[in-house]
Amino acid sequence: MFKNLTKLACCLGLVNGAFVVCSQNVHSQDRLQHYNFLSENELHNLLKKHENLSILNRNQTEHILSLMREANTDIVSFRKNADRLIRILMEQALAQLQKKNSVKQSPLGFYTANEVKFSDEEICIVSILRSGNAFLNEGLRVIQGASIGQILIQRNEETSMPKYFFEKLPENIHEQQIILVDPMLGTGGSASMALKILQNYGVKEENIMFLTLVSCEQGLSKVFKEHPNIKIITAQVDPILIKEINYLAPGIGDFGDRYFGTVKKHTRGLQV
Amino acid sequence: MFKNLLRIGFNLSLFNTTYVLCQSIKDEKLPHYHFLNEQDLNKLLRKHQNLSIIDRSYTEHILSIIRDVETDTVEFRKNSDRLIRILIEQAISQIEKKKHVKKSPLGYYDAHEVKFEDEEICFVSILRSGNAFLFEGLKAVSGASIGQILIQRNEDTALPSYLFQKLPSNIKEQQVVLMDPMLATGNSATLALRILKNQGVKQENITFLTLVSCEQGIEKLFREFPKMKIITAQVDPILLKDFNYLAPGIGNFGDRYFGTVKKSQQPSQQQ
Repeated sequence: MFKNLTKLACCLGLVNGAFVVCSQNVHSQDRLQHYNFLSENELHNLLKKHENLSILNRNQTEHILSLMREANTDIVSFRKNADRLIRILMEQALAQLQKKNSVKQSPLGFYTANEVKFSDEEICIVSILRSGNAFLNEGLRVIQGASIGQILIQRNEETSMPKYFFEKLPENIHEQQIILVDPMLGTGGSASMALKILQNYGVKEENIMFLTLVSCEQGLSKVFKEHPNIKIITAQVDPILIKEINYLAPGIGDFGDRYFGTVKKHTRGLQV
Repeated sequence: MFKNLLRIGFNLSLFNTTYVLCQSIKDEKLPHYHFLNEQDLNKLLRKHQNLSIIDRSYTEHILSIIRDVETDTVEFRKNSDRLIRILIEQAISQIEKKKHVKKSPLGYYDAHEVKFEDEEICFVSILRSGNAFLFEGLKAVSGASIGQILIQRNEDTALPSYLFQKLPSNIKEQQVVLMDPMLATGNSATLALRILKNQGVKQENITFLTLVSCEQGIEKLFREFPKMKIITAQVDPILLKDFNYLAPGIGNFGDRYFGTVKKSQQPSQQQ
């Protein structure tokens, strides 16, 4: 009986060893690349090059982006984390709005009050459908009275060229402070198109802030070249824009599909 | 001096009365719409067994505020969200449930829970106005997938035109909750339902949510899709023929919720 037990143990050990070795091969996934983020130096260079660019502090965004980037993150977690990051971006946008000085009274005495110069209604959140709509959830919690404009631009999958479908903007938009939102800034094609539409409506560049979760140097340069006076606030700048498919790497995948739950089961989140 | 004061007093009261008269005359030009009574509503419910109208006691107050042309954007949004949440909870309550036995701290009990996972539920919104439902929708069902169909009504012909869609690839396996705040002629909703049908979604798996509807729209939908469910907060009595707008209605829900009301025209558009 002892002999049989040893034989059994030996077989189990072999099976286990084979399993571990095989799964290691699968997990090493040599075919997939490991992308490294930009260093502090490179980020500083970017900030010096574009004075209207803001990148959120890494401490605030690392954890959240980590969870969002992961392909296995389920939809509920993805949404929660996206909403957190979007809230941080929104607060940063508000922080950069012009403020006016006044004297107010606290229960103990007077103080100098610095408040945003504009009322809720003078702020317009313009979202680039479909993905941009994800920003509206948190956006309306922060600025309850903001008006909302929408521009539908879809990227042609083969040519990567943006295609305009539809827009609905407030008629007095040229008098408002605009917060333009789109989660990803890849080539900058869609953002550029949206900015041109806003210009046609008479919106001044200085009144536009563009919020995006992940961007790349190429997209940032393109947008700033065409519209040097807008402000851009991004949570992180990714190192690479993959040429053939024009996707950010490591990126988030297709933000719209992941947030709205329309990811096709076989493609695990390619696309931007 | 007393005489002068009297004269001033007299003139002021003249002004006041003319002002009041003018106000009331101005208001008399607009008609006063009365809601359907309980009998009319019961008749509707008996005629269409897949129709649900939310109890008046839940909706009266909120709809009152939403309908008011003076209501500002923030109040409009808050109250719309409340009503939308009520509608969504009603929709979820009508989804099939399964029974099993669970354990409370004191003993066993019969558990009846919605048969489907969050991910098996899909909210399909008819852009642009339908998107207003998504904020509360995601709070109620945090893992639901979201589909979008963009249909805009051509202002001259009043006919809907389809512009764009993005739906989950497995939508035919899902429980679909279709959303659009207003149901007037029913043309946009019909177009959206046909699109869903083309994707293989079965009628029995569709629930259509709308805040305010009218008999005409409801009939049109049920004629073509008798097996789907419709849940509405209130049924308005009139569909104005020339503009195809509900009366008293809400105005253009999309413009009011998203803050894009044109300052020049007050009572506006619908579907």
